Amino acid sequence: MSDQVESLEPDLQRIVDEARRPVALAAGARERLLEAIRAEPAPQRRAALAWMLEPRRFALPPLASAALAAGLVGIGVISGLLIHRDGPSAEQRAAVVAGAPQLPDSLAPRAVKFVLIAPMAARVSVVGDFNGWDASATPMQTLGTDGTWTVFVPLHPGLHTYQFVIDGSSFVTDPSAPLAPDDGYGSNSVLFVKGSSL
Amino acid sequence: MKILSWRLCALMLALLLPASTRAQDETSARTLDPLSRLDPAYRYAVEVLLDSARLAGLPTNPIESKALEGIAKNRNGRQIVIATRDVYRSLVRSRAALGPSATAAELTAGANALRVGITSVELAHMASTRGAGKELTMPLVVLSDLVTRGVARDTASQTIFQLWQKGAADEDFLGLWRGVERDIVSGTDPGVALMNRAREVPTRGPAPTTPPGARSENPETQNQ
Amino acid sequence: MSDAADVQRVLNGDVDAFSTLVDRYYERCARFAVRLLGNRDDAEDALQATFLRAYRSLAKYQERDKFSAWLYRILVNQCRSIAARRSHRERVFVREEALLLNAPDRRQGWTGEDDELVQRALAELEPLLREAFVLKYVEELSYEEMAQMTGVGVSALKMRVKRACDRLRARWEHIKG
Repeated sequence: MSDQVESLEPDLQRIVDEARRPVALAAGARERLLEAIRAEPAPQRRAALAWMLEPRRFALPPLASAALAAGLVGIGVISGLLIHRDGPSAEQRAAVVAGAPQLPDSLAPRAVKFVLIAPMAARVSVVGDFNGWDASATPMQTLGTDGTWTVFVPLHPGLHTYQFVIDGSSFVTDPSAPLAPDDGYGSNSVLFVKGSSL
Repeated sequence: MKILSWRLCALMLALLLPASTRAQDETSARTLDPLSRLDPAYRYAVEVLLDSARLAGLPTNPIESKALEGIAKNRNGRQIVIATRDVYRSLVRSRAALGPSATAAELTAGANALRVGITSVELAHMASTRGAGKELTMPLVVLSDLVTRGVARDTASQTIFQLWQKGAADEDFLGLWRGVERDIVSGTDPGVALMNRAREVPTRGPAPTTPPGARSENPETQNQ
Repeated sequence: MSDAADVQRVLNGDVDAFSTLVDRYYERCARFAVRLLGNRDDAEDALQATFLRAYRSLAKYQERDKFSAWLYRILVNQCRSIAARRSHRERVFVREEALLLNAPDRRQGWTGEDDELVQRALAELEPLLREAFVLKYVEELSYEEMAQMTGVGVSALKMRVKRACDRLRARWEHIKG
């Protein structure tokens, strides 16, 4: 088929001609939209340089903000990568737990430590319902000596399913966690995070 | 100096960014709208399921998560829709059995239990004997795990139910699970492991009542 | 002023420049959303969601893309989400709604029946066919542009447009009423 505008037969052409007529939405629709836009914070240019020069304004680098938007609070993890070679410090862990000050204690995220012993792995990440099963979202760290991989992840109270991903492609369950039944993709690991009031 | 190295890392990151903005844009697009990786027809089916769940007041995260998991594991669209629909349906049944006051965690755990063959009647019975402040999540998680690892369904459900009736707490169920799992890994028959470990769980509450569907009071005579 | 220049003005702090962009595209987007979704309320939701998302992600807009293509990609996705959220029973084009859709345009001898005809015709098409048909014939886009906006390949889009036309032809007597 060619990409030129094909001449339609008269019946269809009539439909098209009518469909091309302008359409009015409800009165005030555009005003409502502009009001909503005025209520928004101004869009930020991706100013990596400006961010660097203004350390007081804590702006996450764009990759981190995308990860944040994905529901993975990587503050403890990502800042751990940037600042400490040894993994998150106690202050960072505390910062992670306090990440949602508006939530009541029973609903606030709890920092959960995932551990996997995989001495032959080159890289390990944890995937689950808290990060959209994205293998690049939550990489784990190792000291490199005994094959122990760890990461702290803030999780909201509730029942979570997860697995580890080894070297980007092998999905494995957590040997130290209960299993969920096979649902077409195999069995996942289950983690029950309780609220702090429980 | 910590701050210096922070700036250096930030500088490296900033220098890397222009070269990878397109990949990053795609990544951002993916993270902003991860379901967009599904073919539109399948995505449509998933959105309908999510909408139905929302209308029914069911948790949507397990449903959406199942779709995202399928995408991450490179399943085809049809498989993804089937698996996602199964999650939705089992949540509906779980809500019907556990009642409107069930938490999201209980609903998900109930859905898992239904999927290993626990009946809605058994589930409803557990829910009806739920005391104030007691959640069904942990016993159901352990129950589903045990059946998944090879314990006969009736054995597992009766044992868990009896412990629940006896007032076993979440830590008791977790401890039970750890013991059974260790025994299974060491080669013990799963059903036998459960029987042995269940005896170790401390009694806290009233005597057990017979759960519905039980054919015998003596679990050891059940076929494994 | 070009679209790209207006985007830069907004990012430089002149947020009112965004209303210039809204003004430029609002009516066209409104027409698209109404044709696709069949009622003004859903269309208004779609437009609000679209322009808000565009505003929030403005920093991600790259000048080498056409702004209209970038905006329409968001619009197409928002319309799809809204359409998916409607229950099956609700996905009907209401007869009365059709009469309310257009401001009366007596100079051009418009009658309510014609617009109702459009809505009845578009109601015959399943959402993805309707989407392709509207993009091709109402928005008058090339298949390449349509592919960019929908994430669907050119040949699949051509097939959808063809199936849309076949369906309309087959149902013409019923559509005419």
